[in-house]
Amino acid sequence: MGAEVKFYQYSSPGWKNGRYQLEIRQSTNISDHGNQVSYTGTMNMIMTRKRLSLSQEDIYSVYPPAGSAGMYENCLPHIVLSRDTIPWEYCLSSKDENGKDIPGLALFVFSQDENIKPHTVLKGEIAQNCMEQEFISPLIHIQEQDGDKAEEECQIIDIPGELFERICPSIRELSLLSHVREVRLDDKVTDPSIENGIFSCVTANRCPREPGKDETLVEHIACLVSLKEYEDLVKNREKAGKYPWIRLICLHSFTFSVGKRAYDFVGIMKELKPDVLAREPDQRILDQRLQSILYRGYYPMNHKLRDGSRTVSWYRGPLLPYEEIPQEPHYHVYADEQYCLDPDSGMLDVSYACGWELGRMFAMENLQSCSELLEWRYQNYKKAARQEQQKQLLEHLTGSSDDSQNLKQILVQICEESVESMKVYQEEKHEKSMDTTTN
Amino acid sequence: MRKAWIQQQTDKTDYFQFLKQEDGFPKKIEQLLMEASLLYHVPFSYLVPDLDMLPEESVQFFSVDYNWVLAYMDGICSVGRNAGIDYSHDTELLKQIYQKVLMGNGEIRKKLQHLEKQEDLSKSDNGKYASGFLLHSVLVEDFRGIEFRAYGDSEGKNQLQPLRIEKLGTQILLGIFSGRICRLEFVQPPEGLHYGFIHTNIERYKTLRNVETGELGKKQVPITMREKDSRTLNIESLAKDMGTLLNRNVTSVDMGLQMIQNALTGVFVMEE
Repeated sequence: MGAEVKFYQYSSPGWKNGRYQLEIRQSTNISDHGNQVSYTGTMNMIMTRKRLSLSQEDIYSVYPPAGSAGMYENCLPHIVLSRDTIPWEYCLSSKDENGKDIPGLALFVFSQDENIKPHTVLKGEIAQNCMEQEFISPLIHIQEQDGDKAEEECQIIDIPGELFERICPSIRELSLLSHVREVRLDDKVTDPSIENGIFSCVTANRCPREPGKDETLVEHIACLVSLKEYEDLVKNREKAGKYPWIRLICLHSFTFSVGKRAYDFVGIMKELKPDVLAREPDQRILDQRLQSILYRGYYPMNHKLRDGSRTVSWYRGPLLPYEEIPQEPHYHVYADEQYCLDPDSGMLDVSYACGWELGRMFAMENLQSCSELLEWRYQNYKKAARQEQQKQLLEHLTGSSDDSQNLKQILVQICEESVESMKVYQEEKHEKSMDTTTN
Repeated sequence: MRKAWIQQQTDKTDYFQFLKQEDGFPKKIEQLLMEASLLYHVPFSYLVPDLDMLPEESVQFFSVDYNWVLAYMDGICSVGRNAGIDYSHDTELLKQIYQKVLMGNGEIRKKLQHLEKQEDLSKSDNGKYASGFLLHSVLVEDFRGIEFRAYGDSEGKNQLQPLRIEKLGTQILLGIFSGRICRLEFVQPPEGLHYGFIHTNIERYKTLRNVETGELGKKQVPITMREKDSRTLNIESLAKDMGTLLNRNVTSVDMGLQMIQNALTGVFVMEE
């Protein structure tokens, strides 16, 4: 009954950013003075990706839910990314002990008293307006293999070097904090942006802060940062402590609060009220027949009639609070044919008429399909007419009336004439071919 | 006057009987009908005429009105229908097409979920019965990828085929299943399970799972914090301790398996 999830340690992007040279060779069977002809060619290309920002579609979900407040002090926030390779697209230059890439993404969690806020800047001006003596990696600027453009926006955070030293994961920890999860889509809500159930997950290494005695809520911000540009500082964290400020690229950020009430799946589930889809009738309605109509999901709606007059009619949608008895399909030319009159209340039930008219309007939106539908009918009429003609002809031929005899005679005559003319044609053709051979 | 050999046929009964429904029925219309049978393209106000029917933090169960769906599908096929011959033709052929559409509409979700290869769960009652629920809750927004399993019995043995599970708004979700729902399970999305641990007044620890079965065991690993920051976990030492207890080289996979909290499931069972 539980959930099924597969974990993977690592997922490398097929192509890494950089320059590539394609060599193309084609061998043929054509021989030129005994040598086989072959062709070669080269093609230079640059593989680029955006490095300074992630698109919104790349972010699948975050935990704790953005904007929520709950007892999160004993959990580690995380971010789920829609593509499995994203953390390794930002890999560091060094490798782990197995020779595998080390993911360069980390999720930093800050509480409100640390006062860290992301700023939006232009990618071309990423190193401008910095703090005093701030350390900015020279690699932060747009490089050749980046798909970023100077006029695009990105987010940055400035964090004190001493804080960076305290919280930044080590090289080994970076590998431990990113992994890939694969889940089945069988029971899942349909999400057009998800093609397979493979996600990557970057977890923070820092817990949120519990509210103190005088606090009710502590706000937090979690920032997905790229450490690719700061590999040296990750390796030697104490070096970072010497800088008053460090500027990092913030690829995504979300806020949440830690409070004294739990906010989790079970808690929300317990609050959910199950019911059947119908409106509870107003207590002032005492008429039982009226009550029963309302319990069956009907709702009184204003109704403008064809002649301009106005009335109120019952409507209910296709979602009923009980199971209706299925009826045989009926065919209609107008929606009005589906009106039902409730003699008790003297009101019309327009539900099916509305459904029918809606279908018609929807079909009219797809004119191409409408013409195909008409063509289908037309072809069937033609087929049916032909079938009917043949049937009637056959009846005549097998009958014994004068008409039938007449028809038979004419048909025999036509057949004989056809055979004759065929013979003549064949002979002529034969003679012609004889002529061509003698010539 | 001589009588014509071929008479004008006025009675069109059985006139189309020889035709088979598969003969050239436009695929596009069939697709539209399948979508229609799952109430696609129906404006929300047609589904729920009054928002009071759908209060916040509630799940509302319903049965899909087969007759409404038929009327909707008939409306789609009504275009260009005006002469008596259309009526005879549609009576003969459309009934079979509606039947086919109702039996085959599971394809839509399979295509959307990229599960084309999967076999259908059996459909009862010729696809005439479908039921579902409307969920209005923060669950839809805050637990993206939430999973639903519906069953035709209260014990959870006979799973029903999901026909449509889609968000209609930030916090509103529509689920339609083939057959009658007796039991509905909500499963926390496994891709979003978070890392957590137990914190008592004295210590922090995490109970380890069996690497083969994923079930919680008895071993516990202590969670230690960095010296320089009391909220930052010392992940390296955690991995080391975990490795000693599990007797294996710990990678991010072990970290994931051991640190995630259990997926939670909520169950609703219908009363008879």
